[in-house]
Amino acid sequence: MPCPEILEQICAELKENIDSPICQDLKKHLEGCPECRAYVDSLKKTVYLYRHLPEEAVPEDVQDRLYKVLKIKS
Amino acid sequence: MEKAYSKASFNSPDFLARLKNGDRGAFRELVEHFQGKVYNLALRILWNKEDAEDVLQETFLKVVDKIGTFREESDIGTWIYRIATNAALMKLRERQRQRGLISELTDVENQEIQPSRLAPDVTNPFDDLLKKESREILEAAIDQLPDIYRVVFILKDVENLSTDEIASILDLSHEAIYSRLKRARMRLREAVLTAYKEKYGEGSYALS
Repeated sequence: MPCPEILEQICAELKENIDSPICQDLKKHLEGCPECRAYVDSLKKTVYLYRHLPEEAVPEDVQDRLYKVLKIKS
Repeated sequence: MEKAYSKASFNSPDFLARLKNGDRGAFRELVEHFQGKVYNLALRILWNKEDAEDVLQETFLKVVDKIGTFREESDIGTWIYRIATNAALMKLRERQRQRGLISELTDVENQEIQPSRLAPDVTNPFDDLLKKESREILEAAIDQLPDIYRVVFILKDVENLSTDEIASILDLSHEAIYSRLKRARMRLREAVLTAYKEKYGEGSYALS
């Protein structure tokens, strides 16, 4: 299945409704084309990777300065 | 040992009343819980530790200042997040003004991206990038992304804000958001593919 969000964006860019014949044709093409699917898949994985980058802990000196500015002690 | 808080406990009438009455203990609990989220959001938008620290401080100073206006039917986490996003964007604009990048940013929007095409039968390099050592490739790629793309990408794809929220925060049309988002994703994908090629060699995946 194609990524619905990407299909929606392509259609928005074409200024077409998602149900319009051109978008439905596009959907059919995306479902059947391995190259397009590989492309969409790699875009989705790019997004996935960034979404799952681990969070950085707030460094201790940054925390200390924050608590000082806010006049709270940890 | 760190106490466990549920989202609901920060939104409870009792906790909000303590905050509004200037209870320092309640405020400290709030800061301890949300500082990591705020710092990482700022870091991802600004890509600079000093600027992220400024945003962290400005956000919670504003929280102290404006807690009286917080409406109890809202979610306090979302409210803090919105303050932090706005503070980060203010910082970004300030930085752009200082560096005189406005014209450069406009030019960036007009640049065409020529995507490489992945052959369907190759090993997908993105699987490899889930490995720990590949984090620097991702970070370098997002570091090279122009601010106008990075902000939209972070808010939409990483932080999952709705298009309406982003439109309101950035004062952009939905069309402009999608256009920037598309370019950001393509640029990141290209950067990741290029880095992979440099690391593992030309023959490791096929470009058609």
